[in-house]
Amino acid sequence: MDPLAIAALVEQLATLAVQIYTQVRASQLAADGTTTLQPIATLLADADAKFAAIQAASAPIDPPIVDPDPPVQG
Amino acid sequence: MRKLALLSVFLALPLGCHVASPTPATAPSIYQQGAMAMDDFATDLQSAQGIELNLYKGGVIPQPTHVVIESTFGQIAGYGQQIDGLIAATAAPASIIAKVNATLASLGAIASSAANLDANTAAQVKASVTALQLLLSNLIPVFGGQ
Repeated sequence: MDPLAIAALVEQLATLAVQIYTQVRASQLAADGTTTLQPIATLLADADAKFAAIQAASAPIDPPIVDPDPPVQG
Repeated sequence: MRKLALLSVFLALPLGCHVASPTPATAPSIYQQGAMAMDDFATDLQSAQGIELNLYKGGVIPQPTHVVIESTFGQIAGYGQQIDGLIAATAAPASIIAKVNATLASLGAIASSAANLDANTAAQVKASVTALQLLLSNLIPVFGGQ
């Protein structure tokens, strides 16, 4: 994977980690949690999407499986 | 309402009535003090990370150093959540101090990473980290540590 892309993903994840930490604190402090729950849900959804992007980017690309002895049709 | 209360005090005193003194506010517990300090810590952590991100975008922090510093910020956010959890659970002060020390070590690692940067950039990174270190260092005696 491109080092520049890795750096960008590390940065995004670290930023998300700090944002989630601060947002969760804010929701715990707020008397009315409903006002801050939505940003947390958004952040978590964003984190899920970024993790999926990392998994997709780092997964080895397997060559297509070719059956050496395909069944003869007809 | 306040004027009425004051008036009643003035009226009561010459008559020799006993006026109850207001109950003094109870001092915050060590856990309340810890929670308040961690509020400031969370805000300052986000600011410190923002400073590093801006410096990187400005081209004065090389990519490998940026990756190390950002990873450490992510780690510190995790420690922050753990400290919050321990405070919320009124855990043993020694457990809280241990986690605070781990966070201080990570902050020290960021300061060390910044040592290789140019003087101005290093000073900016270190200043943001020093504020966080100071906050946490003040927390240790609150929980009975040294």
